Amino acid sequence: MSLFPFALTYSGWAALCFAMSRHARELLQREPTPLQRALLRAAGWIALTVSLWMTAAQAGWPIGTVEWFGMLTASAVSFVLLLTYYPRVAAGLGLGLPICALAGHFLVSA
Amino acid sequence: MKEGFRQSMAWLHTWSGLVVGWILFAVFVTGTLSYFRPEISQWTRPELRDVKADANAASKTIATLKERAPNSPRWFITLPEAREPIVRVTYRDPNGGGEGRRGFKTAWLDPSTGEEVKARETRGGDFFYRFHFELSMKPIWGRWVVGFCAMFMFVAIISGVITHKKIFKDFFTLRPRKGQRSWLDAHNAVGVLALPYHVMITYTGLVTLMFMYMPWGVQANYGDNREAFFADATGVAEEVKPANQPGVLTDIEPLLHEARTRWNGAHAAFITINNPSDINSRITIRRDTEGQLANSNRNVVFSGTTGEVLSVAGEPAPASQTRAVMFGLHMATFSSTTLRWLFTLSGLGGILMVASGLVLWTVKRAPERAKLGYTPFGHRLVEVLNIGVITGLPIAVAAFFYANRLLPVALADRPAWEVRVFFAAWLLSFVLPMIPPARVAWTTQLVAGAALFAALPAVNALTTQTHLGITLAQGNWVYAGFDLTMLGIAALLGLTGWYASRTPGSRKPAQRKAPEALNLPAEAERA
Amino acid sequence: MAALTPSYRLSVAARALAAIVGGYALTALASFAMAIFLPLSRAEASMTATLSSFLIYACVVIWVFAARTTWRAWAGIVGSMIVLGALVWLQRQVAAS
Repeated sequence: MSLFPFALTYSGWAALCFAMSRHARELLQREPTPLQRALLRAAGWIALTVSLWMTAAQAGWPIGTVEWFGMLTASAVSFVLLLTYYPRVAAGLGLGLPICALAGHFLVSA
Repeated sequence: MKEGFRQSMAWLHTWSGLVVGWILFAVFVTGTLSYFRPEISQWTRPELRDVKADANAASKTIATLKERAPNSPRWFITLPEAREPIVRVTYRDPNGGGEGRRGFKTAWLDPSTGEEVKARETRGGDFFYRFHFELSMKPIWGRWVVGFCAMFMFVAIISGVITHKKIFKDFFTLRPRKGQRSWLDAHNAVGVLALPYHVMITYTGLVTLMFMYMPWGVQANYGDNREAFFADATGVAEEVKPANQPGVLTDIEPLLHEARTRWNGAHAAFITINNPSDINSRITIRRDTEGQLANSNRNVVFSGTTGEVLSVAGEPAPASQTRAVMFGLHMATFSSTTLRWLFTLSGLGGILMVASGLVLWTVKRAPERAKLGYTPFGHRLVEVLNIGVITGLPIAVAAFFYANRLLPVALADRPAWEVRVFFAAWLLSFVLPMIPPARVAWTTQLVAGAALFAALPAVNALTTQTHLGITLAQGNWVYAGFDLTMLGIAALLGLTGWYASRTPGSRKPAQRKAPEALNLPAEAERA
Repeated sequence: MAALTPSYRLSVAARALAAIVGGYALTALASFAMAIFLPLSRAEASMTATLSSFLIYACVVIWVFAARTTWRAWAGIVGSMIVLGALVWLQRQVAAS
């Protein structure tokens, strides 16, 4: 199981979270525009879907789906904990985690 | 109960959760431990450290069984695998009784020699596995009690989701240090974030024993002839009677090869041999569950004397397949290591959900206690049970492992003594909670649990040759992983104990803040 | 919050009984009927009926506690059982003749 699909679920949750005005206000001290919210929401759902597709491609649909649900829970728990105590880290990892996972993937395979 | 639908559901959630909460907590803890049943069984038998799987394990095992129990009506052989690289055989002991069920005896064989490995007597991981659905009661009673609680759990999950007004709006919300609000947030978070798991594990748990809990669907079409139903549904071949003429078993290795070819190279996990010394012998080879969600009949049946293939399990019909998938999901033996840890994390979510729900019951009633000026008996009872169960069970689990290492190896009835130590430790954990204030008991017992788990690898090092110094160097991850996990559990319990020592006790009413303060950036609150 | 009057306690007990015992009886009968009436093979019908029984049970319990009065809850349970029982009985008569 590669780390990238996991990172994607994390980013997906982060995007969906900051698409909600309450959490966006907490982070940025201002209201996001409707366009920003729509984009974040779309990005979130796309990230979650792509992650499911990647997991299934790797492990097959039956077990891939089970893995995906497990990753959803694990990433949501880590995101919510970080958001509560270190909101900026939580937001930053939304971008940072997939990049790190990709970099790590290429480092290992290189 | 004349209020609206949501209020009735809130009432139902509170009470259905409370009534069975303590048992559910124990079921969740032992169930989560059971994801590592093979590892626990290995660790509790340090004598098996250097045993290695072997390609010819099956034929060596059969040679041993031919010598030991030629007249046993059945041999059960569990083949070695990475997590438990040992052969387990069960057969009827010809030298009288045998201690197990119906006179059957279980032994562990070295896969490379076929000789018995003398390991200490223990129930190992099987203890937690059986406790998970039998609670150490008489099986029939325990299973009904657990099924009853699981049904309550299912109702509590549904009513909980209905009660949770802002399930999507509050999805990412955790507001710490706000008394009752925080407990509710935490309870919601572990409940909602692992909701697919909770629903899955509760329903599939009921499904594992569904023919016992709900025999009526089978009764309708088959009456009392359950064998016929199982033959129809799962394709399990009916048993043959011995012909009472001596027969010689054919070599097992070609049969294993044949079975593996039919499974596209998958491994065999389990062999059953019926009437091994009779001309009517049957050899059933079952494939392992690795990478197979469905825990269905995966048998190839051979004639024991000729080696001819008698039957091959086909693809089951949709409903049978659904049942097999549900069963497989509950047991989770198909998992890779990563997936097993993801399951464990969700199991931990379940443990925390039940625990926080139980605590929430007392926290919610703090204002009532403050108004009354005293603690009603019911509140006190719930509080004592909460502390005794939630902090006591980890202590009892640790005590079981200590007993495994410290009880004399030659002690008669050793497995029973390990279990007695487990229950004695648990029972003792109810003493301190009876002395108020509750916070002292919470903190003390959580820290005690942490200390016990933290010291376990050290005690292991003093008593065996399976300690981290050796197992890490060997790369023996079954043993090393166990010790490291114990340190992880210690850290979790320690963290919880530390948290319990510094948060305002459940007796003090929650600090009230202006409602808009809830929306402030989290940074401001850390001041 | 409702006071713990004797009538309140009685009503809670009556509902709990309706949900746990009545609910089980209704579920048992429902899964019996499903196994007979589902247009599947015998084994598949039995399997489907048994698999879905816990969902039925949970819905019955939720309904019992959501019903406006305890009487309604009991009436619903007993009424559904009579209907299901009659259907099963009729089917048995037809099958026997």
